[in-house]
Amino acid sequence: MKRLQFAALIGMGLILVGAGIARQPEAQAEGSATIKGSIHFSGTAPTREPVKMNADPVCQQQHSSPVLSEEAAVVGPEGELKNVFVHVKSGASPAASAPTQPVTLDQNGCWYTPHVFGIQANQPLEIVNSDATLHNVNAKPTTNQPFNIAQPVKGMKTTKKFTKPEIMVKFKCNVHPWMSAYAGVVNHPYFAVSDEQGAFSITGLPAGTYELEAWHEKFGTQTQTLTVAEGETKQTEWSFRAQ
Amino acid sequence: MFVGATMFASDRSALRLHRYAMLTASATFLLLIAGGLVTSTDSGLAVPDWPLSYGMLFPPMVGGIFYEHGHRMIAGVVGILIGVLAVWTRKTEKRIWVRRLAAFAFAAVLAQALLGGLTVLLLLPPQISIAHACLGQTVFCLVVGLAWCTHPGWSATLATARPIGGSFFLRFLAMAVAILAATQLFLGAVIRHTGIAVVPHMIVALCLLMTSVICLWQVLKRRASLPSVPSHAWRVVLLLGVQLTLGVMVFLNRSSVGLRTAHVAVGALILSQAVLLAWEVWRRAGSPSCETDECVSRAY
Repeated sequence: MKRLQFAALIGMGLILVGAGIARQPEAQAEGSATIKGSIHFSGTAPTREPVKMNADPVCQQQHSSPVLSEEAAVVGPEGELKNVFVHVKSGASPAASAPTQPVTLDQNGCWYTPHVFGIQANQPLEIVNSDATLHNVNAKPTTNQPFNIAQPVKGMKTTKKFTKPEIMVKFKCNVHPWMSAYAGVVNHPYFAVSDEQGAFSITGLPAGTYELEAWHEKFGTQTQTLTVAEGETKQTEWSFRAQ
Repeated sequence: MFVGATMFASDRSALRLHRYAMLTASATFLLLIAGGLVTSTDSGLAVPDWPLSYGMLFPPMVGGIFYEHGHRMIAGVVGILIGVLAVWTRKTEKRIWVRRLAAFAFAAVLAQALLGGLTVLLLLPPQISIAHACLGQTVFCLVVGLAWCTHPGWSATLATARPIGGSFFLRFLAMAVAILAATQLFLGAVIRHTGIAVVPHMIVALCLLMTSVICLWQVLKRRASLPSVPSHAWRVVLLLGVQLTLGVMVFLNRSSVGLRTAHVAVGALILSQAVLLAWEVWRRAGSPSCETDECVSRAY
């Protein structure tokens, strides 16, 4: 009888511990605050040069009009700055687990799509070759494990993971030297990339005070500290100048 | 001396070997240019695998693959050329040190291929990339040295060697030129693969130029006793003039593939000429005359 009671006690204990473990992600449930932003460039925007793709006829044939480089800066008519990676630098708790849904980095038209993107540490990154030519994908992190993989066949997919946060990881194709992309690796879901209107939105933040960092490949980084309440939407303004 | 019917069969054989060594040296110089192009175009990782390229022997030669795989193909040809040179030298050359030099050149080119593979597979670690660049220059110097010492008239020059005044100073100067030229190539490789050491590279360049000019002056003072040596000294100084101009142009236009590669290529020529200058000064300025076959076969 005593043995039965002991076994029941152990069983209940295990159930309670298991329930606690299972509940842990819920303890870090998303909030309802939102940070929106508008990013502008002030000054004379760098000229976007047309990319010479004649090194590979397959690349050239895929574009009927000249492709302008994204490496300098993509600035709209009113100074709207695209491809700025904005993330919560401090104040956010690390996510309990990374999403299993992969982020896709596509090589299409001898061009990386997207040029700048965010990904969580340990989230799968699916690298796809949609071109009928050879690409190498040379990831050059300094904190994470670098790699250089061959994707010689159209439709080829390779999945990789970055295990540690790192701002930013550069990707380069050495076959087509104009191809580059950047990934911001963070350990939470609070990040965004500015669009062609220079706008971004980070949603689902719990109430709190956060330090935000905005990164641009040419114009460097900026930070802002702000406090949001639950359900609140805060608008931020960012202005970059040529360094 | 080696014209037409007056040539002995052994002389003709030696001349063939010398010409083959010259061809190998030229191919090795081409390989250095191809290697310089790989670094200048940042194509070192365009082919991620090794020894095959994208699992193939001949991938499409597009973009950076053209430079990286082209470099590998030329390297393969040069490896075979040096291998044949080592075998040929072993079979026909009487001087044991020449045979050893050729064997060493072959071993060096094999090591160079392994370093090339390693640097690709390990994603261009600077230490291995720098070692690859320096060993490439060493292989070129070894092959140029082989082409030089396999010249049929090479041994005969020792018979005319006479002790000359101030030979210690001259030998020191010539050796300093060779060591400074090698140091320059090492520093150049460091800059190309890490972006640092620009100032030391500039300082050593000036030291090398000054030492070379003094060495030329000393050689010219003794030119009656040192036939053919002044031409090496002149070549070093003139090439240094070209190299300094290229260096300034590269500094002002660092993205120019042509200028950066030319800077590497002229650097290789300077090192090879500096080595030949030191070698010639060393063997002629300090050695007693060598009149027996045994002496000639042993003499460097």
